[in-house]
Amino acid sequence: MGYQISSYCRIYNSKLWLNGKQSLISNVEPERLADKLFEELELFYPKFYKMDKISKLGLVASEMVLKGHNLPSLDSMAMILSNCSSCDITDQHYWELSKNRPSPSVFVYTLPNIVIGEICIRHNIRGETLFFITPDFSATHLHNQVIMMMNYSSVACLAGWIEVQSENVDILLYLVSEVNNEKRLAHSKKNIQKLYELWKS
Amino acid sequence: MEILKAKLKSQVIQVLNLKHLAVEDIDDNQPLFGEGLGLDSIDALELVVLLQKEYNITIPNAGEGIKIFGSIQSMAEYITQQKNKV
Repeated sequence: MGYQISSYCRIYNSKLWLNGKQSLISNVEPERLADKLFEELELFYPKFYKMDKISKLGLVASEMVLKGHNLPSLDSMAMILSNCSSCDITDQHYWELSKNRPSPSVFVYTLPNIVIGEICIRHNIRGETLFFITPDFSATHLHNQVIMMMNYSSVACLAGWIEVQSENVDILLYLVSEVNNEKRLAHSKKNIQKLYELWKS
Repeated sequence: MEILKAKLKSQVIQVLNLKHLAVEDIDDNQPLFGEGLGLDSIDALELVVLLQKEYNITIPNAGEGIKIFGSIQSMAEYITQQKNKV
């Protein structure tokens, strides 16, 4: 069974690539990047403003990747994300706040896999999920995990790398499904690496 | 009481990141949870912290929280009542 990358979104600081098209997210501070993208998508989702930076960026990236896709069964749609800094940025934010006033609503984001939960809630995804913390981006690791998940029980898988620090945003999110269009990118280690390296272009 | 209610609305919006709302969007008697503003259990904890930090008021009995945090009106009444005790 062959798999394809049905759509993808690559965000590298103020650069955005969406299914082959590049755009520059201009006039925006790193802190405001997620809010800016959310505004441009013209979504009404008040919960967005309560999220930490990782969940906000994961959510807007998922909106772009899943837009226009008729997902076959949300019960068997999986999600696999990874990064190298866990939710360090949120942990530090909580630590700073707790010196003055501990915030329960920030505390709930002090786990790296919360971004998966937020994306699942938003899109009603109910399949298997995994979050890996790895030393670096690894196309091989992501590819192998997605293949395992697809072979196991999933009909589609949202996968990628979501590394967010205070000044840097490094996200690749893509949707893998069974081949239904030969023009789509094949789901291969080489193509995943190529998408990740778009930032070099 | 009116000043307190306006201040509370502003604080609730700020503390709970309700950026889609303005002070004038919240009615005094509008339920804060469920069908009203749609707040959740984590928001309830934030409101408990807000009362402690900003008004030096603790809620000794968790069961009372449902009544106290029912609306801006009930929060303002509780704060006024507690201040008058001092």
